Amino acid sequence: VGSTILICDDDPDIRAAMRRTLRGHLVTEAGSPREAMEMMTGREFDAIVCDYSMGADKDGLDLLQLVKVQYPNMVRFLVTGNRALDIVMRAVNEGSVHRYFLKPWDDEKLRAALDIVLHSRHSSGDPA
Amino acid sequence: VTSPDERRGPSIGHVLIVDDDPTIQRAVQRALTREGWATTIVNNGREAVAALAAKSASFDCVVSDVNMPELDGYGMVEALRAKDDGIPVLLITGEPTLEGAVRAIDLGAVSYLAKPFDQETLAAAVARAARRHGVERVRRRAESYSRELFRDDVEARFARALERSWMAFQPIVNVKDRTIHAYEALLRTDEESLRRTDIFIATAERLAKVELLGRTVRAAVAREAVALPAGVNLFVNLHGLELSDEQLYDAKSALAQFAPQVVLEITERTGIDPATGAARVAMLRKLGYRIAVDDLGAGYAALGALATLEPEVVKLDMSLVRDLDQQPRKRRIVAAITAMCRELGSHVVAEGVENRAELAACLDSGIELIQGYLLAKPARGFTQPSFDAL
Repeated sequence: VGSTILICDDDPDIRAAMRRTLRGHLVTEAGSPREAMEMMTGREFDAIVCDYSMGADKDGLDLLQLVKVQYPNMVRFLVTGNRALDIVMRAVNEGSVHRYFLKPWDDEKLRAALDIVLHSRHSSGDPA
Repeated sequence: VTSPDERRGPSIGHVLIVDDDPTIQRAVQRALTREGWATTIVNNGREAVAALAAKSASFDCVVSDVNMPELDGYGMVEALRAKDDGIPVLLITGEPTLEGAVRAIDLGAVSYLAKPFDQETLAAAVARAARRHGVERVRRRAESYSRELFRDDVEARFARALERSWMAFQPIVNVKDRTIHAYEALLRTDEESLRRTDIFIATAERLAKVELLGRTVRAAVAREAVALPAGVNLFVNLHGLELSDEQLYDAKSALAQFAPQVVLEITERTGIDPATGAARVAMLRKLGYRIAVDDLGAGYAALGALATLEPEVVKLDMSLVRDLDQQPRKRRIVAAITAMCRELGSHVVAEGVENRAELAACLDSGIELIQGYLLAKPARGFTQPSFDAL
């Protein structure tokens, strides 16, 4: 049985591509951080995979920071095309992400990483 | 390995500093001792892994350089995680890179700081990491302790419940002919804490002892079946997980001797695999058993079972029967299901019939086989139903 995963990206093409990558899981899509937060109040997700810059007042790391506080058991992945060092350093030091992927991502690596993190959190709680 | 810095009296915790550069070693030490941390300094990743593996080690946190001879910071974290050591590691680097930071995330490092670092930032990060680690450590210890305690207790109670289990039987009456069509065998136990059958079964599921429970039930039913009146059937519940128990297909098993009289009730609660489920049911039929789909309408995907299992009998869940006389929509649903089952060649049994009004509504809907408190409660042995209620 697949896990429930929320993907958040403002680009529908990217969402469609991510949905293909995550085939076998139960995927829900959100087009903005606000929409993602709304969806999370309605139901539980095992993981969120989100973009960094989504043309909204909140960026992906803001969203994941919120998720970390409000839904600490959710696995948090950031997938971004932005190669700026300060973003990734912020990601580590805020402890807001479990994995950081650069676009274009590698399907197999992302799937494997998600399986590993989902599994380890299942058996031992939060590693971060 | 240098000894912990104890100059300032009792410390708030113990940090392992890993760096090959004496200047950085001192700078990190200064930032931390100022805040009350005891520190131990080692020169590279290999020494750090050894220091953390020492029996006497009681570190709360590791602050490590990335580039070091012998074993670098990444290699060190990898080695620790491989040993399932979840101690928080803060990495410090003179040349931060995108790849390095991503790798730090992958390894679960809690910080990736650039040199020269700000003393307050480092101290704050160490305090945060150590606190979180401490909470996590306490939580895990408490969890594993309570898990063991609880499991021991549950296993003992389950064993007792199994030992003190017995079968009750409830008649299924053909109200048209006023005859006893069958008895359903129902699991009971005198172990107080598992008296509720659903909890008894859920406990078996959790302890992975469903097969053992099923074998016990079948053996007990077979012992009683000797006294079963001729021409009367015996309904026996089968847990979905029991379908993979080889003993079930043994023609020499005690229950198999009564197979032509036995109807095995299967719920879809556990989710029967459409491919193997059908094959297994075919094997059971070969032994002479008939099949009933149990709890139809209880919210499980039992409609699929009508196609996969081709049951001889379908039992309507009591939620469909309850207040059937007062709810016209429910009655239409029940009538439709009954008609469909008849078309598919299955008998329909209504479970949980408690009063005359529900009984009349069942008859109206075309159901003649009735089970419920109105006619008889489950009891030891094969008791007579109260036909007066009809």
